[in-house]
Amino acid sequence: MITLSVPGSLEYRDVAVRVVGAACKLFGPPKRDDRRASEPVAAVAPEEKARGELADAFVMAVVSAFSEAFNNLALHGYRGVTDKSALGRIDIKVYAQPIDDESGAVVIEVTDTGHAFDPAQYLELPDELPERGMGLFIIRSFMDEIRYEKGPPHTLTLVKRWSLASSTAAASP
Amino acid sequence: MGHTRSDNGEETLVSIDGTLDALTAPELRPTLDAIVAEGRKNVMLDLSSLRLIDSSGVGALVSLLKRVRAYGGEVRISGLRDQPLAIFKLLQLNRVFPGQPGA
Repeated sequence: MITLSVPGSLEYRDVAVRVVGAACKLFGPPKRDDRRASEPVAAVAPEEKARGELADAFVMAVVSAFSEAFNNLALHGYRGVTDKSALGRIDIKVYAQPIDDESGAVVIEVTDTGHAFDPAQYLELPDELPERGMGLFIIRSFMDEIRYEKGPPHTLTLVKRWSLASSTAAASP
Repeated sequence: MGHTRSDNGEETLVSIDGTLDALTAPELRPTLDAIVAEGRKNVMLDLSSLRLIDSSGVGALVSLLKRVRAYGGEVRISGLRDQPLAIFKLLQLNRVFPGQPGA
């Protein structure tokens, strides 16, 4: 498990996003199949390419969703807090949830003590050219499961699953 | 996030690199506001070096598009890839902004 605790301010978003992205590379779909390490490069190249694309898309989806979740907490959860020393924190846990050799999930738990914010309410895109309200849509679209436990502290749990079956299928001619 | 603006005749080119998000979008706003204030009609956004975008960054670009269209101009996008491309596709904006492959 990887844990990180940062002040609930946008200035700390970049470091949080980088840590979550790096954690997804460790806990998400593996780019290489160690069982085929002795095989010639040409034999494993197509599968590794497909696995690489799956892994990159996985990290991209989680990073996109987590960024929006962090925005919501920093912008709305801690709105109205002008004294920075009184600013609440955002605690982040990232861990792997193995299913079997070919699939698994990455779980991200985000805990804060700000204003409650429940992303469970499904938001459709507001209109053809939205300027606001897209964050929750992005979270819901990129994650497989979203849970919210109202506190304080409130915990938002984001789950993203992966399966190598989809990358193998993509690599087949 | 870094950005540059260059005017070449009728066209205004804005190149944006790095991360365009809730923290950095306000830095871009004065440049976009100036383009609108000057009534520039042919705006091209080069996003080939944009690494990451969030809903706030998208909001800034959509706001520009709406305002430029309101006086009969157009905003085109080029070079969208990786995470920003995935976000534009998800929000179906690759159909709204002309000039993007797959639109």
